[in-house]
Amino acid sequence: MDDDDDWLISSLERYEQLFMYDLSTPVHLMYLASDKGVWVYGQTLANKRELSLLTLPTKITNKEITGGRDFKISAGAVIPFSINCIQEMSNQQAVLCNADKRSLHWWREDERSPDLLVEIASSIVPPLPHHKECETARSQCITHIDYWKSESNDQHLLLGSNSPPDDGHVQIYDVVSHSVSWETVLDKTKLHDALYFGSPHQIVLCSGNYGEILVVDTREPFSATPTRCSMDAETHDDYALSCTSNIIGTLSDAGSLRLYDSRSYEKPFYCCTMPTTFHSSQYLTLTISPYNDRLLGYSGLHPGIIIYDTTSMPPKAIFTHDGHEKEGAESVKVHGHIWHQSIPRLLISAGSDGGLHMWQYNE
Amino acid sequence: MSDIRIVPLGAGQDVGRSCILVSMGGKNIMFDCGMHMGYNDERRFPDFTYITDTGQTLHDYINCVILSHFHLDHCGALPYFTEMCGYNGPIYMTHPTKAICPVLLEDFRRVCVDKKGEQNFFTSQMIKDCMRKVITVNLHQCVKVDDQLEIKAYYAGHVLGAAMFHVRVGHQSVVYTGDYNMTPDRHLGSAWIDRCRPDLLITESTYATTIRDSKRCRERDFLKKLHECLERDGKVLIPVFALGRAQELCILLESYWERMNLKYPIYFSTGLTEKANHYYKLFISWTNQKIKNTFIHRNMFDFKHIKAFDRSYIDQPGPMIVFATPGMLHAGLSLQIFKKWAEDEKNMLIMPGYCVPGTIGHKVLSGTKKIEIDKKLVNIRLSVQYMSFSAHADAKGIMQLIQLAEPKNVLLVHGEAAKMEFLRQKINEEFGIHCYMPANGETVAIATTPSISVNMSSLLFKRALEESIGAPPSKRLCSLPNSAVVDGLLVMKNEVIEVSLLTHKEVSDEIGLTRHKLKFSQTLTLDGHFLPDSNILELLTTSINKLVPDSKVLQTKEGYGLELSGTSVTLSIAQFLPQPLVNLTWELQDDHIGSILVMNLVRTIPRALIMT
Repeated sequence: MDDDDDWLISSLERYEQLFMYDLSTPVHLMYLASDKGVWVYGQTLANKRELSLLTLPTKITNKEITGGRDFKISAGAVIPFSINCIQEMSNQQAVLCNADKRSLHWWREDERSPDLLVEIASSIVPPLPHHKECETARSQCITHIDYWKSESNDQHLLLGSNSPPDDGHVQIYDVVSHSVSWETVLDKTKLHDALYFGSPHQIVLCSGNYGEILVVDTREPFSATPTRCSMDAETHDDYALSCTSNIIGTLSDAGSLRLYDSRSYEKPFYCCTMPTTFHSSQYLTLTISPYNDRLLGYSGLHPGIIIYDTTSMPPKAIFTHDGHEKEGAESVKVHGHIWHQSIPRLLISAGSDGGLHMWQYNE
Repeated sequence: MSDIRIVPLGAGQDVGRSCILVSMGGKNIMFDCGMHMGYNDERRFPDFTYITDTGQTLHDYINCVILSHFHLDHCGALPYFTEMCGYNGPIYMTHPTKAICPVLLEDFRRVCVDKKGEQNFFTSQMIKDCMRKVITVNLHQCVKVDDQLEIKAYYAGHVLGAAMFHVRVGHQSVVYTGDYNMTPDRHLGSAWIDRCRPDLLITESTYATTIRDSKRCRERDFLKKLHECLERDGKVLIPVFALGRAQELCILLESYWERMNLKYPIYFSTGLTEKANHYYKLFISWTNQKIKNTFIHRNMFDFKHIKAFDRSYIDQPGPMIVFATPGMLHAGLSLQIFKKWAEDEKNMLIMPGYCVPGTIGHKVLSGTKKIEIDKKLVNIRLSVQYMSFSAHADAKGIMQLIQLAEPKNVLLVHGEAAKMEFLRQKINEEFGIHCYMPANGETVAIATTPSISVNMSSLLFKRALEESIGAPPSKRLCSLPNSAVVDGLLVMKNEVIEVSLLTHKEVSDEIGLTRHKLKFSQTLTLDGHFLPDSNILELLTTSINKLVPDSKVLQTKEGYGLELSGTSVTLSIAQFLPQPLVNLTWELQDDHIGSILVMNLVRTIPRALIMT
């Protein structure tokens, strides 16, 4: 075996399962559609923007003897605009946030050619009143999204953007009436990374140079100043946010990690500084395992993805996926990672070299 | 304009029985002659009635048959086509394909006729007779089938000897890929083709809607499963075909055993090792670079850890790995071993390829737990693993090949139509070319634009290059920009389709004509009332500079005229007052400047008029 196989041999012990795909172009955005699929978005060599819905390998999902190890391209399309984020809704539609103007676009499989994705609706989302004049400016575009469907089938999208000069702007968009049902402005405060619906009336976000956790009750009047709950000790440019029903986590672009109990936001119950290899905010990602709130996935400040166990102090790195690192290609960066929701220890990650990996680490 | 017509007789929107008929420039070429493994009736073979219904015999209609590789879905119907349907024309394939093809055909014939009792099947003699008609081709060798039809083979990876074919008839050309692989594996390299810009690329699309897991991860999965089984004292059976993936897996196991210092015995069916060695030694130039490089001091196919299997080992206790034929567990040693080992749950069966319905292999892969073998019911308790090592280009690979060959059109075969709209859209968007997916029997006509290649004289080329880049050509820079305009004479000699572009002098010298100069002249009469004589030359100079930018206007020696430097254009004042007369002359090569000046010169002089 060659030296190239060293990593492969070592991987036999470390990974329960390992799948590595080499895509034509890097994945910039991905969203786990359901337990069986993933939406991926990237730009091709000819600068075309491609959106695909990939079906996870049947070897993983249904354990049949003849199950395949390949991703199936369930459907795809070359789309006419760049996007900032993807969110799947309940009926296999994806909502795309346009990166060129303040609009939302709904895409789904074409009924006539099921392997083609087609746009079925689009909607301009109103900006802040004093920013009306620059409605089409890129700076007005929606950069964060979350989705909530109530038991009574009400469907809402939580939209976040930063209007110049750094006014965080949060809106709740009613999918049925295609209108904004609630909004608030974080005056002179930047909105970071993700935002979440904690419940139908509660949203969680992270903002400002101190990475404040904000929990907003949407039953309050419009534009009410939200309750500021807790903040980092130092200032940083960017933060990643991750949230489960029990835990809220923030990670700064310098590696400062804070974990909060979702029932009490006053102060973090866990603070530490994670090791970093480089300083970058573009692909900073923090995720929490759906099976164990104390297991965190962390990427963007390191060439790989590190899984940390935070039950002890300092946190213990229990696994590092270094498959995206290539000898002689130091510039390969991880563009993001997600946890599979029903298979323990299974993650999907994407690298700047076009690599899309699915891996289940050994405990 | 003339058409290239393509009709798939098999593998149109389907995988199996590949057979694509292409008509261009009055020639009919058949690519592949495969068999469908999923059928036992006449649907197994391509529908040749499309040809016979024309009223012509097969060899009158078809100018040549080209086979891409030895897999049965590409060559399985060849003996039927030649020996039973009567085709007697030339058949082209590579040397390894010609060597291995009859081995697989005979193996399959034995299964169908001897084991399943099928009738109306070709015989062993027919296979031999068929193979005698084959003409072999080397990679990159231009083979002239006749005066107009030319074929050239390119490396396709996939299996030993697999080739893509570039076929040219006059100005029209087609590339047929057969099956190919754009990523190298442990024993073969990746497909490659030059930028041949065919009118049409006919490409397989087996994995067009797939993003393939890396080969390394497949190998990792194979090694992990196998090693785990051996560690728990189990036996591993790997049914394989005589040649192909078996060798690749053996190279993998051999190096893994070496690396991990493992001692578990690995066996290969007797006879197979020698046969494989023989072919791989014979065709070492078709393997990958690493094998070729090491071959001088060590043949990678001389395995240290893999030994010949003896039937007495079946009942031997302890862990072991056995590679045995046939690959579908329908007969022979692999079935015999399976029968013995199937009831022990410690053991493992690894199926590295496809199994035809009706075979034991297919039943096992379908999850059947009790199978009757030789009138004995066998409980399937061993672990069954399916690991596909088939090497086809996926969506990315297809796009890579299009990028390499730069075709003007793409036609997809050997895939599912229902799932290929996205790939079609992608090809169209990314390369701006049309993409077709005909079903079996459906004809696609592709219009081509005839192109005539012209040999340009070096003198003319140098001049054109100098004019286009504005400097004498260097040794390095020797291509004309697409926008360059070349002024010369097209010469076609002796009705031969060979056209040359020459300078006027070269042509007149060649045909012995005396050169004549054609001179044009025009007199412009200006209105002298508005033109004081002292200013006429100055006004004319300004006007010429406006009309012909970058022109250099000089006064003639006599002082009554102007000339444009570097051209034959001259202006002379024949009379000053009362109506100044300007004589404008130029030669043929400067006709465009002369015309501009005649048409526009007087307009640029304020209130001047042309009187005559």
